[in-house]
Amino acid sequence: MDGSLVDDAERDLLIATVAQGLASRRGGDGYDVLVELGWHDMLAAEPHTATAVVFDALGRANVRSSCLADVIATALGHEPGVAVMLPAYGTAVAPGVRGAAEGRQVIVAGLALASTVGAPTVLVACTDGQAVLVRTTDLRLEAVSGIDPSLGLRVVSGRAEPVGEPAPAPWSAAVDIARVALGHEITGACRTMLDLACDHARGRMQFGRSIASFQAVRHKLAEVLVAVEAAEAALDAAHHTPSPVTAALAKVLAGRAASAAAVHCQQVLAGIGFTREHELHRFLLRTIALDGLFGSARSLTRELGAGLLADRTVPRVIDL
Amino acid sequence: MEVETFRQHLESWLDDHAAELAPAFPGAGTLDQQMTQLAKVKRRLFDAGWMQWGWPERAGGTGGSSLLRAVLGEAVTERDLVQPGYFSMTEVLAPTVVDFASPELAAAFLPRILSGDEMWCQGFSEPDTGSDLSSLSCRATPDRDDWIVSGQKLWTSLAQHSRRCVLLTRTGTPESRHRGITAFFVDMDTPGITVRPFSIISGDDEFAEVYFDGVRIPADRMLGTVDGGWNVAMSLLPYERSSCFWHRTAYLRGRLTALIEQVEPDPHTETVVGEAFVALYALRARSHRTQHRLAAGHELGAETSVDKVLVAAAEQRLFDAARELLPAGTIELAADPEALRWRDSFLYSRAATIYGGTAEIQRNIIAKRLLHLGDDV
Repeated sequence: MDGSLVDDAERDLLIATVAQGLASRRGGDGYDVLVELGWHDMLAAEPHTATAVVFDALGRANVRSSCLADVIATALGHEPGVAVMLPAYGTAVAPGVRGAAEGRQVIVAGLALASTVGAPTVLVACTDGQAVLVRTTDLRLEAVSGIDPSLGLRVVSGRAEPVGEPAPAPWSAAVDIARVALGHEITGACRTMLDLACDHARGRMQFGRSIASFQAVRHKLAEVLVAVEAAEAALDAAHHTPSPVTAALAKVLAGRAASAAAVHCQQVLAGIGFTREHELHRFLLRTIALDGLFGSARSLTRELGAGLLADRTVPRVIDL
Repeated sequence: MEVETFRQHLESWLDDHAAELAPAFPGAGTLDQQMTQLAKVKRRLFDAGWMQWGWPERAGGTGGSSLLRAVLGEAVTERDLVQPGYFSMTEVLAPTVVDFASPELAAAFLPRILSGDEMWCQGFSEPDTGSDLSSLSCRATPDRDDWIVSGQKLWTSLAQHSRRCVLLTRTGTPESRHRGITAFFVDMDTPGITVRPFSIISGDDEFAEVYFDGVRIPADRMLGTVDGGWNVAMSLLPYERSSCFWHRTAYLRGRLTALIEQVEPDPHTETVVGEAFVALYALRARSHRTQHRLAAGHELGAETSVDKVLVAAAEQRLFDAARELLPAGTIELAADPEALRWRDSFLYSRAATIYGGTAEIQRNIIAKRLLHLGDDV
């Protein structure tokens, strides 16, 4: 359906291999593992499959990486491996501003992944449709502790002199692919939250029976599965019908699945789900942090509504 | 035929025949007007060969992917030519007859529902049998080559307009549950059948009680095998959640378009409209997957309960948004045809968490069959 050259068996093998590779990195960084497994080649040859499988696996395993920088760099016409500026939290605005008043300088404000620290240069997409490389040492990078310190985000600001010439770069395409990638990572995390909550419900005995036998519990978990399946279908659609609208909708539905998973899985896990003794917290906090990257479910929902009201029409979005 | 080619040819045919296909009444019309319109549209589509696509040749269809049926339903719904729920009843009942009737019976009757000559109805629920379908008690007893049916069905949509009924009966002991049910394809004009229509909350006589008093049914009208009716019912329910739901996305999209044509943007309105759109799209993306699985020959099963939960959420979210955003009094007071349509649609949307298995039953199925949480209390 998505024109992929990878068949189901190959995809399943890839999923298993990536999951196995990332298993030991929970809470940490797994980029080197993915590069070793051929992430860069996969991204070049099979971008949809690579993005879907790798980001889903990162979410399921609670592993951070620089893969988001790679998909953005590729969309902007650069090779993967370069450090890339992300937009400010909660927005999808290009993180650089070039202006006549600044001469050649670029004003940079946004976020960056942990791997940006130590990279000699960082790629900055600018609001005028150009992208430039700047020296990382010209910028101020502050570690974000925030709700999910293990994500390793940095808040970046400063003025920098470009290294080399600016080149046209399709920021909106980068936004779309980043939203889809993040959607996969969030949905992957939701799958683990749901598994953790279902395992707990099956094993936890109260009133002489497993709490999984109570409808009040079952219906909450069913609610999460519905939201996750909807998000996965929307992510599929973003691959077979790529557009700004399918990408935004996929990110929104992933964010909604995360809200459903957070509320219901934590409630089912009850006391232990409220602690750091249980693994749930890693996934719950990660999805909250990721929701705000490239626009949150809430802000994108409103933007989509505003778009419909401006056009006075509702697009079919996808066709059979 | 390729789906895209089909869509293009169909769209241009619908454009060319727009005037003769258009309803002769404003707004949603009365139930009788809708039935007349439905029969007219299906007849025209059938005569032009559109209705037969996607149905097997052995039963009088033209063959081709089931996707073509979804595209056809979407196209006629988008153009407001039919009420989608009534148009889609073919999708609920006909696959069952094609799969479980004798080849001769299927070939004789499928063209009648496709052409609009006949409506069919679904005789499943009873006064004491709603969510717990396997408790049904309408009894069929063998009598030489025939079966004699006595009992009552309830919530039988459009029974008074239907010529045939896909009927579930009890043929085993009362305790036999799902092992003692047999399905029949029954002529509604058989002596002993009494239909009493009654109004749904919007005022239309959509529902009926159907009484069976010694109704004689020939054995060759059995669908499937003796005591094999549960199989028939379980294969029907996923169909109720496949092409029909794709048609429904077209209907809901049309209503959302009608809504945003008459509200002014402000931050709150943008959010409410955005949420309705997201819920509608969640259904559409999911249903897209389901249509392709069906077309690829996968057997549909418990996973279509996810589609059902999403259709209910989308429909209720949309009409809640309409009630909130439309000018005050549109749904509550106004009496022009457009306002009546909003009122009927709003009221009808409340059924989305009830019909075809309640919201709670869907979640029970999801918990047991998809999440493997075991049995409930």
